Amino acid sequence: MSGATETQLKSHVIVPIGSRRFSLAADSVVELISIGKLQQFPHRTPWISGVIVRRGRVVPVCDVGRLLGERNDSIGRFHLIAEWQAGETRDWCAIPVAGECQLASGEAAAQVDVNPEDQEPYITGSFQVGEDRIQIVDLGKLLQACQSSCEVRVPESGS
Amino acid sequence: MKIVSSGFQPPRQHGRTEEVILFAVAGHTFAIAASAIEEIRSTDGFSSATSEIALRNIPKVLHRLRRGRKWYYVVNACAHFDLPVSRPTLVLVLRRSCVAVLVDQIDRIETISRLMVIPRSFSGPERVWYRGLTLINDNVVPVLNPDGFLTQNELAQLGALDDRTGAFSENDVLPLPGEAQGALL
Repeated sequence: MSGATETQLKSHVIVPIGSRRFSLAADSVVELISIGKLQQFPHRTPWISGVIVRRGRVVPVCDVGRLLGERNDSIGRFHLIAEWQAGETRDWCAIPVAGECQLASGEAAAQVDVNPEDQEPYITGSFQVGEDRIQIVDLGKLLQACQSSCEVRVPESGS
Repeated sequence: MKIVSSGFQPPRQHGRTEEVILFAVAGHTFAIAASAIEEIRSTDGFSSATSEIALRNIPKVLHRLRRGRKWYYVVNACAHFDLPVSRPTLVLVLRRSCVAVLVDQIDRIETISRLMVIPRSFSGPERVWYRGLTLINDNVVPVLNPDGFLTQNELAQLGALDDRTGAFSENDVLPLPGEAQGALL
């Protein structure tokens, strides 16, 4: 319903995920690195495929495509490491990407949707690149939305 | 793209070191604080010191283990972590706990100087299973929370079963002959 738009100049990193391209705010992107050694330990967070070690930190590898409802059949050649606000701290996650990431600046307009209820809370706007309008993903909101909707429940420890 | 984020939060570091026992379950390596272990014993002769538990909704606990005057709920680590079934050969009896854990084998004791918090992206029960993560020779090893094997709800169910059967109160159990057989740490 709303036709209001907010415009501001921002840099974005455009990432191909599945059949679509999404963008992340450039200031949330830490770096793009070659695929590192994926390590595993038991857990039940379905969108995490493992962890990598980067600069002494353990970084979860998140299947963001799955969270966005995209099939990501491409073989990731790189990890895009992005940070997100987790409570009072900022945490890192690694997103497997095929490689065609692009840094772009321009007007980011708040997403205009016919029915506001259809807006996903983690899509914070859209970004015009050429003829394409690319949705801006707030990684923190995306992960938090998935965590709150995930059926996995953290039990209270006892013994 | 910036190289280092302004919100960088360094991993949690302890000023002191900690000894941990590395052990394996179904091909995965775990660590647990050495101070959390009362005893490591072989599963040889396991049946003579145990009684069976049949609670369908807690399939990871199939036995009670008697040690001295105390009973422990034996948690099968494979079932706890949803790992393929393996052949446990050892039981870790936890200190200040009513839990013992079946594991495949002990690897070694290591001294760690850094325990990292579990990244917030992890949102399942692993947040309770693990105290944190550590790096040993560039390998990520989860450090177990000794209180994370059974939930309060599971303990309540097991306790209620014990109350119904009435056979496992601490005071009416005599020590078994040869009770001190396990490798005390």
